[in-house]
Amino acid sequence: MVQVVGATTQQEVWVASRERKFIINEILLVEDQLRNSPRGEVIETYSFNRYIPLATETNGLIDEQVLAGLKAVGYSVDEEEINIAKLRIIGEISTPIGVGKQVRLPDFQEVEDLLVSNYPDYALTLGTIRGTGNLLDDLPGELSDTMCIYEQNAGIMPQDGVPFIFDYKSMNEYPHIGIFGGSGSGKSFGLRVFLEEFMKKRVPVVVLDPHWEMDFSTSFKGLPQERARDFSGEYKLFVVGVDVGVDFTDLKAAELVSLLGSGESLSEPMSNAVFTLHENKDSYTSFSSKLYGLITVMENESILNQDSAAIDNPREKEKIDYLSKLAAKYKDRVGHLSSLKGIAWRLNALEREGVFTAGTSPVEGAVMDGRLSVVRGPVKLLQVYGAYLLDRLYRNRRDYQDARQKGEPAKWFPPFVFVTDEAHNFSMKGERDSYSKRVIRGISQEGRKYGVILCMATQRPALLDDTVTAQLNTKIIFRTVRVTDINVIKEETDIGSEEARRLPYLNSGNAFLSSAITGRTIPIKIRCACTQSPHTQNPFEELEQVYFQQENQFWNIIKDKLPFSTNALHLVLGTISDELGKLIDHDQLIEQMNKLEEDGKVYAEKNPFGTTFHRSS
Amino acid sequence: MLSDENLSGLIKGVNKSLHERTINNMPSDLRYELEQLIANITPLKIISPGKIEELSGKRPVVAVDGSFNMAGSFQPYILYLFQAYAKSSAGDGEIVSDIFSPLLPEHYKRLEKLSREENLAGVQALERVKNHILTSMELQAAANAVKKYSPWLVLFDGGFMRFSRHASQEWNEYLRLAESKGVISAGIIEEAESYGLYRVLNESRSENNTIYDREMLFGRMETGECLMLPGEKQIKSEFYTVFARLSRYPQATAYDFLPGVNMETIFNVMCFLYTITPSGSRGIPLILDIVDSEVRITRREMELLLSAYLDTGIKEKFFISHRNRRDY
Repeated sequence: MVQVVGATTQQEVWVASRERKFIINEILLVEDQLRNSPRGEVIETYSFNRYIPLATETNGLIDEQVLAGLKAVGYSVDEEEINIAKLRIIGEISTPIGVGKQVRLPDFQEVEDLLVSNYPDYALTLGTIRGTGNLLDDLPGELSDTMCIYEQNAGIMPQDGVPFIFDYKSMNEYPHIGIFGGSGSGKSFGLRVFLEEFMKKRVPVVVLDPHWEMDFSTSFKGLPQERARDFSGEYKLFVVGVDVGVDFTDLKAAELVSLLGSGESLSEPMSNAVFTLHENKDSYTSFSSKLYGLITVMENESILNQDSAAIDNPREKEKIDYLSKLAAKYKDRVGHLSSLKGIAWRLNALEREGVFTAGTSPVEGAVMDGRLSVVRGPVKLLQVYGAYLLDRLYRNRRDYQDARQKGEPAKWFPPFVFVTDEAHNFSMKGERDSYSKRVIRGISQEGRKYGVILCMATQRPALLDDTVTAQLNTKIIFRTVRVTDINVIKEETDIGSEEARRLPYLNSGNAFLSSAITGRTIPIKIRCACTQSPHTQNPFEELEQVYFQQENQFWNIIKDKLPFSTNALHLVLGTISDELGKLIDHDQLIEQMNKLEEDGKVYAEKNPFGTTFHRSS
Repeated sequence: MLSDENLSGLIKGVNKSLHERTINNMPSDLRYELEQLIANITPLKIISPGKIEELSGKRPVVAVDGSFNMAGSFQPYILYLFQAYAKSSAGDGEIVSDIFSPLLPEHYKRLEKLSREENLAGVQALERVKNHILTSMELQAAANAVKKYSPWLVLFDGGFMRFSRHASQEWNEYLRLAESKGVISAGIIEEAESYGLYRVLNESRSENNTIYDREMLFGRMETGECLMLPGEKQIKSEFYTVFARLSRYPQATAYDFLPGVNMETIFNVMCFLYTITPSGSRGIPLILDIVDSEVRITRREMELLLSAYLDTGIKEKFFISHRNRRDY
């Protein structure tokens, strides 16, 4: 029997039971007809046994033999437990719940409206809702057995509750997603599940992948065959500077400044020089010849003092004329020679990385096809390039929408989702206005109109620009330890103090989802992904493995050559080196043999002529 | 609080007097004398669950306690609430409850009859009735539990003297029932009020200053020791009393058994009680403390009961003493 006890309010009540342990986050139904039998979520649980109190100065610990002695006559003191839970009423009632009312577990039908807003065929199946395990048997067919769950210690498990299905189409009204959580909290895993679901629904997504982990070709290890899914053909991998790059002619001066500053920000004179030199529709060649021309002039001004009429070579003459014009136009406005050299150096570096060799069209094509584009590259470059890419894709979509509104013909460009981890680097709070911040801010405020959705993952929500954070209508919060981050989460979501207190202790993969779409904070467990990152091997295990292999190889080569003596090593060294495939000298060989002796594989016999190694029997 | 030096001086006087009482009246080596003159002090053993099952024959243990609460302040504006509980280690238990108030005509008649027949003052008669109701209810609960659970052992909170004095008829009925069912009964006396030990010790002495057993035994026994008096040196005429220190707390407690129980059984029961007494507690077997806490109605709970079931006017008029309306 479960009962409402103590003082109640219209928002929270305490419920108690002697027999039943409460499960955090489960939903219970209070049978209070006057208030239409409201439902509540368990937000805190306690158990206590008043006969086994905390040891204090007045209460000693109860000795084990006392409990055993009473058990022998049939009395289990340890079962005199009372379970208590704090229940937060869902929805609003105007008077407090009646004390003493019975409380029971609801049927699925009685809570369906709270838990399920859509069905897997029409929305994203992200995981299960925690605390709904007891509703499993009641679930209709389309909601049962929809996924596997991954538990840190237990491995892959069957679905353990009501599926959490994210009605992504509602992002039309409540756009943008924030995914917060520290390392190891399951944030990347959650992101992967999101991406898989978007692929299933054929939503075009562009994801920046600085960690080179968003590959969907490796099936999740141990996942049952029927759960596996082949995503090949549904996503494309692009590397910045190899497959995709920047169309130089499309660049605006500000974008170029950002690109050049991807390693380290440009100095004031340098960016000034870029703004002066760069003209719309400049190609890489036109821009760089202006730059190098000016450098030549400023290094050697005497070049211009020649009388051009006196030069016979027409090409040389043409060159001098060009330089004279350049000098006349820019020389006094571009600043110091060293700034130009700095720009040239950086431009060169980008060019060497291949940034200007390819354009954005492969990504645009994938977006048009409704595919997932994974864009990879060095972190710093990806940050700048990502902003450039996003800006460009956004502009395509905006141009199409705006034209359509005006009734002008325009080429269709689809709505899309843009995903990035380490989002705080893109849109850092307080920092001066950067290119990426401007782009992200603009989309966060206006993207809804054009169907462009941001999905910003970060482990430092406190560092994310406030304007952007405020626009994230759905926030998924994994384990978070930093107080400053927890405070931001508390301010920006409807997470209560009980949930906030649990944030530092959430298991990997467990999260709270606070969303304008669901209306209330929902505790979820992310489902097991269909695929996994290709490089999840522990680097330390990798070390062990490699050393083990090396030692094994050495042993296999050496064992047939035993016994041999240290004074005749030259007889075996050559063949050993050959078979190993690398040169090994006298000392190294002895060292390895001593190691084998330690391991007990060989034993060393000392004699007047040196040491002879024998194979241990 | 007013602080008067006179009062503190008087308290210091009590302290001195009690020191002298201890020094003058206690033999210097009391333990030795006890052992010589009366009995051996024997150590009890913690026994294993297997041994307990063997002793009990897998029958449960019942623990009995009663409680009473009083609303109002003086006769006849009084309402007593009684509750007695016999808890079985094997299951729930038996609850008996009752009330008494001189304001009710039939209760008033009972009081009046008693004071007329026994020539008692009103307050004395009320006390008598109260004791009778409480003890007979405890016995009723115990008897119900004996019938229902066929226990091995029934533990009462308090000595047997209360029952034979205040509810002799019910007590005799209980004894017959217990005997027919082969039930062992034991009464646990937290505050031993007896002074039999002193009398036995001082048969040869001339002092007639009374020293209670609890005083004599305070700090004289080791944890887990038990003082079993030989038959001829019993301190009570009707019952057999054992003293034991079952926890680290230095006060010994007393245990009443019925005559006719053999010494080995008593020793075994004492070992069982020692086993189920937390070593850091005040020395009462845990199950009795549990019954005590379950049967007790707290002041607040009583007020809730009264507020819930008495009309406010009735409650205020009859059962709220004016003292309770004090502001300070």
